[in-house]
Amino acid sequence: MHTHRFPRSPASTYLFLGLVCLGMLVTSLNSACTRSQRVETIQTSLLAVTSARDGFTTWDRVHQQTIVDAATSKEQGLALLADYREKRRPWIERFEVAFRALAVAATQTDEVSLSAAVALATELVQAIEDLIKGSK
Amino acid sequence: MADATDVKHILTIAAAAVDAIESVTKIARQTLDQKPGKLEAVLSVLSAIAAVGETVAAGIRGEVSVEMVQDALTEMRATVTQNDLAADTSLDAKFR
Repeated sequence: MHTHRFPRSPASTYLFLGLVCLGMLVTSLNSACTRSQRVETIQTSLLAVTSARDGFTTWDRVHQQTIVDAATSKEQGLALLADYREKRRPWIERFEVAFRALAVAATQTDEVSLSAAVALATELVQAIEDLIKGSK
Repeated sequence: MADATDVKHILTIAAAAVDAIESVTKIARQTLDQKPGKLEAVLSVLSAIAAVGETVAAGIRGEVSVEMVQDALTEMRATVTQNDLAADTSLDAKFR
């Protein structure tokens, strides 16, 4: 992974919002025992993952442009972009898994689906924060 | 008591529901015309109408629906594709 400095960007703002949501969802999960609390927990988790998604896609755009700016030839630029996109693939898959888990939790009433969705959302938001911080 | 925003929200959902149910009903009529008396066809139509009803009810209650989550996922894929295209275009322009 390429390491570059980024100015304080919208990605950081999205991440901040995501972390706030994360705190809210952990709090709400602790007391999630009624239907309305379950709905609230899923909504908060979705908001957190969506914020992380927006932070990630913003960072992705800036990161790809940084690669283009640093390229000394078209061939090198194409190779670096291809390399980065291959490394990006697992991150997109993690978002897909997290979103799908939330969809499952939204259609079920059991504790297992809710816990799994919240755990995936929490891990993903934290991982995205680490990814973006690590590239700065 | 619901405020104007709530009423507008509910009316928007209701309008979408009417459109969806009209579409399902149209398909139902066509299906029943082609397969008169088929129990499966009737059940599939009832199931489709029930699914529309559940989605509408979830929307009115402010719950997360599967469609909402799918939309979030679709938006992410579209944005990533746009990012790729922007980078490719920028690279082309740089070494033109």
